[in-house]
Amino acid sequence: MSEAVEAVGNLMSEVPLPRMPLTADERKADAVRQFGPNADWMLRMVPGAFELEILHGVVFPHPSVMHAYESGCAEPWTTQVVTSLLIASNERNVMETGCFTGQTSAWLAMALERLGGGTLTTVDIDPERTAKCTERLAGLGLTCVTHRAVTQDVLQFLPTVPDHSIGFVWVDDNHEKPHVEVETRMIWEKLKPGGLALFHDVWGSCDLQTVVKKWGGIALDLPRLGAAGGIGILQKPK
Amino acid sequence: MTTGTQCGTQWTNVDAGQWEVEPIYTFSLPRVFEYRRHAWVPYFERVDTTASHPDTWDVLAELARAPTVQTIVEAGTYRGHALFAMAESLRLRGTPEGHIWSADVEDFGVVAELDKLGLADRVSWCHGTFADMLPHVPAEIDLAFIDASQTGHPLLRLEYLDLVLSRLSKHGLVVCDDSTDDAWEGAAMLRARANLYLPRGHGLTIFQNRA
Repeated sequence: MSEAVEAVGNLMSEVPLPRMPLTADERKADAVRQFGPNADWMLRMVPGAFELEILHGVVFPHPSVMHAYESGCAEPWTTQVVTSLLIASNERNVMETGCFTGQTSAWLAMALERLGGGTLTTVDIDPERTAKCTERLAGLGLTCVTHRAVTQDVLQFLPTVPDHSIGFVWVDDNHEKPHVEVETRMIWEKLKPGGLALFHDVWGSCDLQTVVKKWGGIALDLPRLGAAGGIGILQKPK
Repeated sequence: MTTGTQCGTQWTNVDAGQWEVEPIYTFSLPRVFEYRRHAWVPYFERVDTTASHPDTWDVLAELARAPTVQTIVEAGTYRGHALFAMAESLRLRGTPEGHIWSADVEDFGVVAELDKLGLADRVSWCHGTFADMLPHVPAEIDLAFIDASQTGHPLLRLEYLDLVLSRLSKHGLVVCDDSTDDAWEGAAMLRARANLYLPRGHGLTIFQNRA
């Protein structure tokens, strides 16, 4: 009986959340609130995005990831889906390939904090990105999450990871299909039974959903801000 | 850092291990309800654990957010928490598209609550079985949540799964609750067929046609 009841930490930020905006102006103001200086860029990139109202329903897990979207980041709603699946999977050993500005890393770390702790390994070939990610995660006030930043090519790093050890991988580095096919084979060996691998930008120009489905996974088409978007999910059988 | 609504209270242990009511969840308000927290909190102050797990509502809300999801069906409304999550997610899209058909053989007054919450136009509720309702759903199904009571019908959810898969859109998803080891005898069969199994809470299995 007690297994069904869980006292969990609260993921919500202290920043007061507005009611659902009702008018176009309110929605635009809400976008500025969420994306700060990037709101104008997003308006240019996605004409009518706010009219389509695809930007709503995101609840940021920490103030530092508000006003933080940059071109190349995972869309906030995509990140929200990913963290929902991480929490539902209950996996605690998480890897991210391609950390960029560390925005998704922060979301993943906060989800692990909510789960009661875990380890997040972020891998990126660019030392500036690794440093930025490390700095960002240090500012989250995490109490039970261990962050390990690795500056290395993912395909060189993966062979150093013990087989069957990773519970959850967010794959968001090089989106070229031949690279992802090689990467998927390597990740498969490192996933523990029941472990999940999630891939960004599987729909649209990258067309990675064919790779994911080849491995028995599923693909979700989500709102896009560029030529590609959505996520692919595959799970290693138990 | 965290001040979100802590819904629910501790269990009410009235006398040496006797539970006054069914056990209830202690949890954080799922994210989809944050935009109208004031309206939603009363519905989550006491949620018994017969309902699906709060993290399941979060997953369903996220799956319902995709604009390609237009037609959603649910087997087993119960007190409506999962339905609320999906309907609020549709509302947050801000467009009129997206509709949910939900069925339950028992009426817990969910329709009146949906009306109060301004979500009645998003939902068609059927007082009957899921199998009875499904022929009336006019389109291919993009998202299905199967959580029907299986008392006396241990393989009912498997039957419903097959019914839904035959009506599923190309990239549609089916989510089945209570897929953990000991929940019911069909759970292992669900897990064996599923694309994904998420063990937290009561356990979710997720299906997508392989095409």
